[in-house]
Amino acid sequence: MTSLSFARRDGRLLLLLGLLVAVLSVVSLAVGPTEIPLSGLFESGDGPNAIIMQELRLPRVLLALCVGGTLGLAGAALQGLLRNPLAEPGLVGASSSAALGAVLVLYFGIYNLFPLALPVAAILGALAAVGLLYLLAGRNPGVMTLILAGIAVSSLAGSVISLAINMSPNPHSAAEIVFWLLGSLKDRSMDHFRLALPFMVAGTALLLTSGAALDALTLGEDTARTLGFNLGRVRFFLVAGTALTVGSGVAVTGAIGFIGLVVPHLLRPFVGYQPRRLLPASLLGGMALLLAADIGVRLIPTQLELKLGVLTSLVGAPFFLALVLKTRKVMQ
Amino acid sequence: MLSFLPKGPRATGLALLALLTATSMAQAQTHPRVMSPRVMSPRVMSIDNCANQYLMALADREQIVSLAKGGDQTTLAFLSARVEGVPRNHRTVEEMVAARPDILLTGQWAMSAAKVAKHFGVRVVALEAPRDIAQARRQILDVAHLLGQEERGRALVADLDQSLAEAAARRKQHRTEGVVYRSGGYAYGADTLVDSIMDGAGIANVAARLGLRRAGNIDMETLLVARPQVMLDDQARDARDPRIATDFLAHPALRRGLPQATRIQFPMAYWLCGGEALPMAVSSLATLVSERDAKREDVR
Repeated sequence: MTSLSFARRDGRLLLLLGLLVAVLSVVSLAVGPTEIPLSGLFESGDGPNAIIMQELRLPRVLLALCVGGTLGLAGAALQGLLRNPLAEPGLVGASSSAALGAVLVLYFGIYNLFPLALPVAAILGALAAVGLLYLLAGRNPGVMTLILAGIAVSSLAGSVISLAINMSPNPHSAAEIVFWLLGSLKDRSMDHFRLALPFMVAGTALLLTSGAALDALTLGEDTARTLGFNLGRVRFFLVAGTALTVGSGVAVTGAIGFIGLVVPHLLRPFVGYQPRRLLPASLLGGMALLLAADIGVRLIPTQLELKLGVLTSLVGAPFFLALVLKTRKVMQ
Repeated sequence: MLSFLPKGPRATGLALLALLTATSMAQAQTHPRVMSPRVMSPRVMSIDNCANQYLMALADREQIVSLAKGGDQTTLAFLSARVEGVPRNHRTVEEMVAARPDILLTGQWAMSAAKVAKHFGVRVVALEAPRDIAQARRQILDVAHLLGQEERGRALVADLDQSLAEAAARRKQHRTEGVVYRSGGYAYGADTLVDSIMDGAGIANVAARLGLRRAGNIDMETLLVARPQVMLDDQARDARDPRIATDFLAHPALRRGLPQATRIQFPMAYWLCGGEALPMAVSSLATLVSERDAKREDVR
């Protein structure tokens, strides 16, 4: 098949995913506890319709697009970098380390003084995790090494978060940390969106430009090098891009898992198992999946709020398990 | 362990309290070994914040074996001067068994430890959280009776009734619509002591109007449409305390959507327990609301 027909087929896939994202965005704007016309989005003045649309539902949709898209993208990029279908920001410990950075900033009240400290600390946390993972797992990690290194990083971050909960001087602070960690897009504001956006854009750019190198990496590091890729730079771009997107996302929404695992896996057959073509598709796919999940938490009738991160884990963890079994069979 | 926790209706709790009170009096005479000099004044140990409040309000200093440590900021701030010098415990079973109080006064939170202490022969009395002022009034009298301090119990109830009467006299024809709104959207609905205190102070509880029973969450969207006139924040904490959900109450939607709503800070300690804080809660809340209403009229 020629590369032109690849482009046409990918174009069709991306168009379809884009349409899905658009439809889900409108549905997400329309769903809520009060019945509000979509026209509230364009109303001026301070009527309840305008405020609910512009200050509550719009930031929710925008953050779902940003966080979902970058999680899907980062998952696809990590899987390409580590040449392992089981890599995912949550599973390799990037999300929990980012959460640790964010919790520390919130816990010590630094956020109230410098709001920018929140995404920066979360990004540094994610950076430490992905860097540590790369050191622990080596250049060509097996499935077991990767998962074990991920567990090690996650439990390290988890234990320090537990310490923060343990040491919180009153039960309300402890409850706040726990609920925040569950991950949610509820009651976020445009301020949160504006806080995360620059980092997300920078990280997305770094990840999207690494596509060609990821393709070359499928042939092995030596081949990639002979093809003229500076692997040190490629690795830096991918690690930094993942840290920027995952860190800033976790900073404003808490940890939302498994999007980065599920989306690339579902889309890979449609892009001929080629990492470069998987990246933009995973970006759109992540947006669609997180939007759908966020609509789900509002439609599923529960007495108390069902947290978004809980729903994605409930769906994602069995998926992961099935994937582990499948991968093991292939490896044997 | 869960099956230990009493989950029956409040009537059971009150009956239990009454029964335990009666038996404690009867058994008190058969165990002179552990009694204090005054036969009718049992020595009591508290392992609960609300029980702390009751003991400070009603018991003689010699009757108090120890008070539960912790929670001072939220429940005992207004008692802190008086608590000085009173022994404190860490709510451990070891302390309960070693201290051998005539009565171990607990709430619902420390029940599992209290059950173990009971197994070792310590007499346990558990306080239910009152769900309105009427229940709180009965509980004051019950605890006072348990402590052999009926006089003080009646005085505290009289105090409460007076603050309610004063609040009622001050009340306008139109009730102010208010809500307690915490980080995350947590609110108190109907069938809570908070609702009853708000009612006594002249505030119509918006959360109850929206159909919330007991405590739970009210969506920010729903609150924006309901348009409360007063928003009470009872979680004002020490600035150094860690907090995650700070920006919830500063959300632009609340600022833009409810610019008229008066934000009032009200210490949580006042309505967590049905004891000494209750009359203070009613009168200070009534004062805050009437001050707010007066300001509104000035503006007009």
